[in-house]
Formats: sequence, C-alpha cells, structure tokens
Amino acid sequence: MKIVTIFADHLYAFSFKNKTDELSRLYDFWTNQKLLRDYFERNNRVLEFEDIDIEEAISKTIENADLLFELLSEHRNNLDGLFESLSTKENDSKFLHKQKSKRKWLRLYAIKIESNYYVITGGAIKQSQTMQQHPDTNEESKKLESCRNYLIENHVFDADSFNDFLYELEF
Amino acid sequence: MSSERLDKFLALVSDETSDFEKKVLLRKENKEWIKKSTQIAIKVNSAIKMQSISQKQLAEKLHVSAQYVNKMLKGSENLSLETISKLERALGIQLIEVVGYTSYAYSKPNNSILSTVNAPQITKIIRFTPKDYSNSETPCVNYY
Repeated sequence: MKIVTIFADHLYAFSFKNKTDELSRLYDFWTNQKLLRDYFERNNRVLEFEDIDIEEAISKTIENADLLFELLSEHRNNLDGLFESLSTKENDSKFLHKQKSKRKWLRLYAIKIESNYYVITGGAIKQSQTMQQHPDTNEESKKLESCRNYLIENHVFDADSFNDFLYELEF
Repeated sequence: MSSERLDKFLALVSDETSDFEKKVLLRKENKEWIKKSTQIAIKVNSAIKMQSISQKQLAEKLHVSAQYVNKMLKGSENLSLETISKLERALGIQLIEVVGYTSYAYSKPNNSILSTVNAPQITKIIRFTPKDYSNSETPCVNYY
C-alpha cells in the first residue's frame, strides 16, 4: 500500500500492490469506451434504471468522468466543496472521515485528512442502493476501511483525534 | 495550515507523483476531437460486436496493425478521414456525414444511393449520426 501525490498539498491517492494509483486507474477505466462496454455488458442495472442503451451509458459515463476529473483539477484549492460524507451515518466531525465525490452514477471514495486534504481510496460505478449490495462497491467499502486502518496504524492522528478514536472504539 | 495529523500523513506520502494531472490536461486540450473519436469508437465497437468481427479481422480489413485497432477502439486515436472512410466501408455503416453540402449524394458502401441532400452552401460541418441508420429508409440529416 502506497500513497502518491495527485495535486501537491491537496489531493493524494492510494496505490495497491505496486499498481497505478487509484485515481489514474479510474481515469483509464472511465475514459475507455471498450472497457466500459465490457463492464456494462456484465452490469446492466444503470441501463435498466436510467432506461438507456449501452452506447448512451458509455457516452454519459465518459462525459461525466471528464467533468468530474476536470472539477477536481480546477477546484483543488476547495476540495471540501467537491466531497461529501459517504453516508448519513458518517459523522462530519469524525476524524479520517470517509467521503465520496459523485457525478451521475460515478463515485470517487476518499478519506478526509484535514480540510482540503483528501486521499482517494478508489471509486466505482454505482449499481445499487447500498455499497454492500454490489460486489464492486462492497469491495470499495472494504478498501475505504482498510485504508483508514492503515492511516490509524501509522498514527495519522493528533491528541484530539486520538481521543475521538478511543471514543469510536468504545461504541 | 499544518497540524500534527497532517504532518504525520504527509510523512507517509511517497516521492512518487501521479501522472493523473498530465492526463487530464492533455485530454482537456484535445477535448473536441477526442469526443468525436470516442463516439466513432463506440459505433465501431457496436458494429464489430453485432457482426461478430474480431479486432484482428478488422485490422486485416483495414490493412493496419491490431495495436492500432486497439488504440482506435479506446477512442484515443485522432482518426483521419481516410481511416474513417475505410472503417465505414469495412463495416458497412456510416459514421460521419457532411451536412449542408450542395446536392451531395451519399450512398451505403454497396453503392445503393440512399438519398440526395439539397441544402445551402455550407460544407464544413461534420456531424455524427446519433444512431446507426443503416437499416433505415431515410437517412438522418440535421443542422447545428
């Protein structure tokens, strides 16, 4: 597990097993119509839900991926405006808070280190109501948790957040 | 702004910088043609799936390498009009058309004339067919 810089002093991303970092992996996937076609042939919930054909699903995915990546690049100084809590269960004040950034059915997952400091853990095409209902998002949920644990194991906390962590363990 | 937590995080970050930003900038600079190239790639991929043609077979038909076809199907290749025309002929589909061209008669690859378009003298607008109309009676002619 490694952390690489996306935009210095703002955005970072995990890379796993010496592969490309997660944001670049998603870029390569979400802008490649061939990979997207293979994906939508195996996962047709978006097509059914949106009532669109595979060509439209591919086009809209690429279009929205471009917008999402451009937004990240253009608003690197205000990332707080692009990310939100992963779920309503997540407490905003929680340290190493799990976050998501979304556009249509695209989801980027990240952990908030501090205001405007985020580390991307992965991303997926949303296919179900909850993350656990689809293998891809379920896997992303596990990655979020293991990345957060990695940061905690490496003492990415201060006195205040350590107290929060102890509180978290109690409940 | 710096905090103890942030300093500890930054100490974990490797020296490696992702090439994500370069990729996004390059794509943004070439947005217009990449969008068109992607739309063509989507149509070509639909056609080869429907006709059960492999990438290798398509490469042979076009007299290009399999690697080139692979790149083209990603939608990241700046295709020439010659390549697009070869694709249209090889797959029997129309990928682009010039709209507004005076008395421009266009045909399916088997030379059966579909229609003649009478329109003002505008010759520079190329538009993508929203749907494959190869089975349709009337070709689609739209203006921007």
